[in-house]
Amino acid sequence: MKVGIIGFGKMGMIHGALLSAIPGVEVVGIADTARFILMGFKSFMPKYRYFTSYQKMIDNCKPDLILVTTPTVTHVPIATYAAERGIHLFIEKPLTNTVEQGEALLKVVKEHKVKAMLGFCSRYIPTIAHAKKLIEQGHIGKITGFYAENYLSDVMKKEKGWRFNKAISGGGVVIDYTVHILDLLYWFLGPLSSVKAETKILYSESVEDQVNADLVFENGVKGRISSSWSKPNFRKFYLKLDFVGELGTLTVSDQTLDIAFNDGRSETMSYPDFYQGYYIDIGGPLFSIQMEKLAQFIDHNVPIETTLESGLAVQRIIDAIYRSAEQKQEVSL
Amino acid sequence: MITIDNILLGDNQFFGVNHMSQDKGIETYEKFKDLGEIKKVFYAAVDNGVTACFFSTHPAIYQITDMVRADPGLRNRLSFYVNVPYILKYSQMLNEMGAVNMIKQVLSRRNVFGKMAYMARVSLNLATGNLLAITHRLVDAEMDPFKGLNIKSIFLHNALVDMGLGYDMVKVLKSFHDYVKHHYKVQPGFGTLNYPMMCRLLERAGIDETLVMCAVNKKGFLMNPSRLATEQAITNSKHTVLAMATLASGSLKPSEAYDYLFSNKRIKNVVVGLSSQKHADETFGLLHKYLG
Repeated sequence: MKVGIIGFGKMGMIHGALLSAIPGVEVVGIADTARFILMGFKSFMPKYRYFTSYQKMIDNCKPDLILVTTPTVTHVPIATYAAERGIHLFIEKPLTNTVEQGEALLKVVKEHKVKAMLGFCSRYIPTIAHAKKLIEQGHIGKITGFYAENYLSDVMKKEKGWRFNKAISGGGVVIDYTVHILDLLYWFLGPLSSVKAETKILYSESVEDQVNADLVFENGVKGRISSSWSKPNFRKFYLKLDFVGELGTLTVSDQTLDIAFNDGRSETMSYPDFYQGYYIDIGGPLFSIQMEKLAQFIDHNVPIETTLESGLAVQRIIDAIYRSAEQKQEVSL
Repeated sequence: MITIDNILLGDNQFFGVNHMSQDKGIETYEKFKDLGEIKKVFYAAVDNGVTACFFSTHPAIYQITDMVRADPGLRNRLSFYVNVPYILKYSQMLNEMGAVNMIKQVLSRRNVFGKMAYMARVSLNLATGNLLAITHRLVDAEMDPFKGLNIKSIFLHNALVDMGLGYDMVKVLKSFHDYVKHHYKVQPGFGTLNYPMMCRLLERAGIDETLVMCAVNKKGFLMNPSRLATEQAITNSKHTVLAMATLASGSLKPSEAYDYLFSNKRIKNVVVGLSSQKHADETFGLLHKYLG
């Protein structure tokens, strides 16, 4: 399988390195608009071909798959160009800035019969994947409610860069970080019915730094999310979901999984208990598992759950949160 | 044979890294915001015969190294093994703020003369297209907080090493190794979560014997592709192994963990984390028993 990488920032680099370590996968071309970065990598890794235009990379290298790891606003145009040429897609989260763009891409992908996988990596965090299995098996009974939070001390003053430019990023913490818990909630609970959200700007100029929202899912489960990239003392990405079930409460983070049963029993597991040894670990098992699944999906048609359709469903939740915050009222989907 | 200190005090606890509990991680991070608490841990370690510490660069690192420099009781008794550079941080910065702003940020703590000399070298490297040398400048920038301290070794961070494994970056490894050896005249080291793969890359880089830090624990935590493959690679390689994550992030009891660890005769060096005096006495008491 020949792979082209478009956008050689942190995620593009990690995904490319992970894929290169899988037998039978070969990175053939790298595209980025930053000539300086490309020059640097050319001197370290002369065996790859580098381009400042993604179109040229695609036309010259003819990859089977491209990784779209660029700023959000460019995801759909790049993916469309590739899909029209029959090239499969891996697109980093979030899918895009607007629901309309996502729908347009889905149409192109179906028309040209290419495969597409979304970069919702949180589903591959071992504690979270295990929590999903336990809930499906009815370990805590029927889910009745939830509380989800994620925090990071990433934006503690006015910052520079594309993530803070709404026209390019589509928004702030909601589209960049909260999207992880929104995707997980969609994965655990299904489609959303309505939302009432409040966003707040603390340091940024045009994008929100924190959000609180009440969510109601179609299956009737209600809950609340709280998310901020401007919360002090969270040097590392913190993500925690509490699911209240008829038999007990399951609390899962990227490090731990705790269950408190109503009858007084409890279970506790942590990250080291789940660690199994991976073909290579660069930045955590979630990324290794994600790229292994991608290779299996493209090469052997093994189905994945992070489809373009699921990306679009999450995009609709993001859109509803922004609309609700702007209109200061509950929004139905 | 490369000889290094047997027991190194690690720094994870100071920065709130805890794989067992995020809340506990945040709690210790809160606690160690107080430099006095960090000082206590340093003293608990040196009073237990620890002679070295392992430090990654971090936004708050200057406060810690300033404190050590000002305290002869620590400065004269501790040597430093420094882990550099967290290259993903730079790639992100480059991405988000561009090269000029990144260099400005990197330079923000330097004095005027230091800035001028550094910028002159960066400009020359840029003009001649010498990008491997630019990475040396990043190493220089990250070593700045450690000036005047006893540096024993400079490690290339596992985030970069492991990415280098994926991309087969033989040149970067070799260039870092030679730069540290010839410019800083200290032992180069490499962190990795993929020891067997790392051995193969080092072999191709022509580095037969160096210092490698990797996880070694009974649980197989952070040992890739497996515990068994890592054990075999350690036995079959000549590199000096600095064992980390020996307690699998606190999920193993020290006695059980060290019984396993030192059953491998090739392991003579460990990096350990500490959060309290009680913890220090127990851990070092046990370690001295095994290491003599």
